[in-house]
Amino acid sequence: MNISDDALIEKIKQGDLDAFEQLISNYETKVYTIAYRYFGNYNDASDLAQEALIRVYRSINSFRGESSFSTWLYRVVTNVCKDELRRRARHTTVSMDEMIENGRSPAVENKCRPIEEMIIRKELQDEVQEVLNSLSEDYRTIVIMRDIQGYSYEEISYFLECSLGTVKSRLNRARNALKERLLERRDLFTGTHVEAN
Amino acid sequence: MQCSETRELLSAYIDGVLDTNENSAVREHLRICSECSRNLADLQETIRLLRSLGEVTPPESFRQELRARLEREPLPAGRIKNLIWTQKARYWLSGPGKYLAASVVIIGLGVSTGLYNLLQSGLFPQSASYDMALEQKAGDRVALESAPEKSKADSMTDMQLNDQDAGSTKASATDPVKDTAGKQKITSDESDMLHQPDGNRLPEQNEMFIAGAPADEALRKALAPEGKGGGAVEPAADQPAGNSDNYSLANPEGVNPGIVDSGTTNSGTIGSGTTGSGTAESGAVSQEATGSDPAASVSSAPEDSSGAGSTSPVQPFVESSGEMVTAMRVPESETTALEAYPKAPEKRAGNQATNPDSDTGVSNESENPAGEEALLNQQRLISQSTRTEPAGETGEISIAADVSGAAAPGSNVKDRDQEAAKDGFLSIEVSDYDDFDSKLTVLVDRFNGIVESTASTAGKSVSAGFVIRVPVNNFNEMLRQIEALGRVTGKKVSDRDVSAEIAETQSRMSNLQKEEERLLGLVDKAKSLDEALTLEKELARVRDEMEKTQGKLNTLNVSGKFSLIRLDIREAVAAEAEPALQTSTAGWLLPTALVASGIGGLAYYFRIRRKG
Repeated sequence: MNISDDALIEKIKQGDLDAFEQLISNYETKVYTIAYRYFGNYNDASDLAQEALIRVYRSINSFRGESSFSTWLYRVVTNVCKDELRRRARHTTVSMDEMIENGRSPAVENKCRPIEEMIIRKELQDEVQEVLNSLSEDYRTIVIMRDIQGYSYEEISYFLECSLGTVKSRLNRARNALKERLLERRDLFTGTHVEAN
Repeated sequence: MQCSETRELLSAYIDGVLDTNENSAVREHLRICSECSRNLADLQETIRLLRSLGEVTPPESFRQELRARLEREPLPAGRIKNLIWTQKARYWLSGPGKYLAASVVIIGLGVSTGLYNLLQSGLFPQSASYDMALEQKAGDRVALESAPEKSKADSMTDMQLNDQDAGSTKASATDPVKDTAGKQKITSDESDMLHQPDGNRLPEQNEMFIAGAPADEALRKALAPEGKGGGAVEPAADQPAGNSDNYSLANPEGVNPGIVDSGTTNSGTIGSGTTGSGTAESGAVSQEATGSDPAASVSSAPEDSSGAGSTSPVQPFVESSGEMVTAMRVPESETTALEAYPKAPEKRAGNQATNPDSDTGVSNESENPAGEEALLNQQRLISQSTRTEPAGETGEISIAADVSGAAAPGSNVKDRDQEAAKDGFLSIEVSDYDDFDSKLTVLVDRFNGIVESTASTAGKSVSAGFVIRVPVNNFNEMLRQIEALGRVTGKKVSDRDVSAEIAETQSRMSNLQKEEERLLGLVDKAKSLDEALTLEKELARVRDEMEKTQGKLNTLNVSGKFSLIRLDIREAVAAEAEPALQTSTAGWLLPTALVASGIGGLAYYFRIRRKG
């Protein structure tokens, strides 16, 4: 964590909202992206990202700086999204189709790419997100944690409160499920088979 | 390694989290198995796709919405430290704290309302007036028990007497009241059909039972601790022909023959059975019953005089129109000399078979053929030993007396026209006790009254009792004026015809006179010194009795001219508690509802907090 983060956090602890906005401006896109990957639609992504950031603000006093602010922030986001996803799986009757429908709304992509590539990439990404959305909550969560957020197996086992073995086998099944569904849309695959090293 | 096993491990193989053995085994298998190799490639492509997913830029509104939500957030704890307390409170109340605060206030309100109710409902008796009310309610004579100690004793006793008087014509003989010593028990009954055809009991008659009862003096003291002995019991009249201070009047049916401890102790159990026989017929029946009862006890008495049972001498009075029977139970340990005297001198001729000289406890049953009832054994057994040392005895004397108000008609006629005295009981609520007190004093003076006793209890509100004696003529006016002094919460006026008792007492007086004459005659004829001595003793007793009877007669004559007014005064403060008492059930609704809603608020508060 850099010095400016440190200083900003001190200001936030005094109730400085501007400092907070300044602090999260570096992270909010990533936060939003994570939320979007979990829920696959912009409304939920906004809602949950905001919820996560507010939770960060609320508990800023409990942040002691043992880890970097970003690590702590993403952990909070992950927990918020994971809990919400689990809660929905238990309580809501929102169908997968509905979520896929919501996911169709256009996403604003990073602007640093050539426009054609951007369009292609966007379509591709929407398709991948759709497939992701079609996974069960358990599979979606573990795949996003591992392959999008890049958490280690240990971290995942901590988040999900399960054993490493469970993480391994569940991740394997989730990836395979994802692979099968992607293969149904052959065109997503470039066909280049990379050898394992 | 099989394909199925390899497939399980491919994901971990890509991530490089397999141990070296597994890793090499998988790699080995992949080299020979194209199927698994393709699987691996597909998986890797999948992962690559996922990782290639770009960032998603939040919409423009994201920052604004976040800002709005953040501003609704409570301040972080660090910020709160720098606020002054009013700001802190305002800040705290702006959050879920307001629910907590409201809940606490509501619960506090409910609890205090409940406590107030509790106090008002009198679960914690604080004032004597409450005690008084309770005792009154009991309608029992329990009050006697504590009477001497309590300052309000006499007023209380009075009230209770009054209650009982006016309450019914029949007070069960089975509700005796225990006194501290509990040794004396008087059951009295009187059927007084001649003077009270309606069978109503008069106040004096109850009082009489107490006053005329065994420990006469002692009881008077008990009733009026300040030494105003005359107070409550003043109009009392002795019962006919009681041969000792102690006697009880048992009801005609003989249900509950009284047991009187002849000891001088002033403690006693007094149960008053009052049966006002409504008609002459029933009176006759009761006479029959009475006759048989004492007879039975008499018959057993002599045989048992040596030990087992207590002897029950009976003293029947035979007169032209009625009987008086007194039964005495003598301590079994006593060797008693029993003398049987036919009471009615007119019938003496028929009863001369008795043996008046017996020293050795001979009992004589004398039938009285001249009486209305053939079965009626009329006896009078006199226990000399008992009589000479009644005070020292621990034994019990039981006297059952049936008093048919059969006074000698001629001698009492003149008393009949005596104006009936009235007794009144007033329960008054006053706003200012001191003011009332001074006004009352003026009234008492104006109407030539006498305040016989007062008792007051200071407390949250003053409560007091008065017993006022006032000339009969002034009674109504006096009562009216007292009523005007406050709010009347209870009123009772009862007639009291003293003439009946006067008649009885007079008839008894004449009986005693006759007995005296007879004894004088016997003394003259006495053949031995022993006999003469015995008769002298008896004579002395009769004379003693006459004196007492005369005293009672005087008292009665005086009391007939006075009315008693008993007052129960309470200051209005105490009265306010009464509605609370009455509405206590409804009154609990509010505190309960308040506390319940407060708890609901608390629950809501904690729910919010947990969510937050």
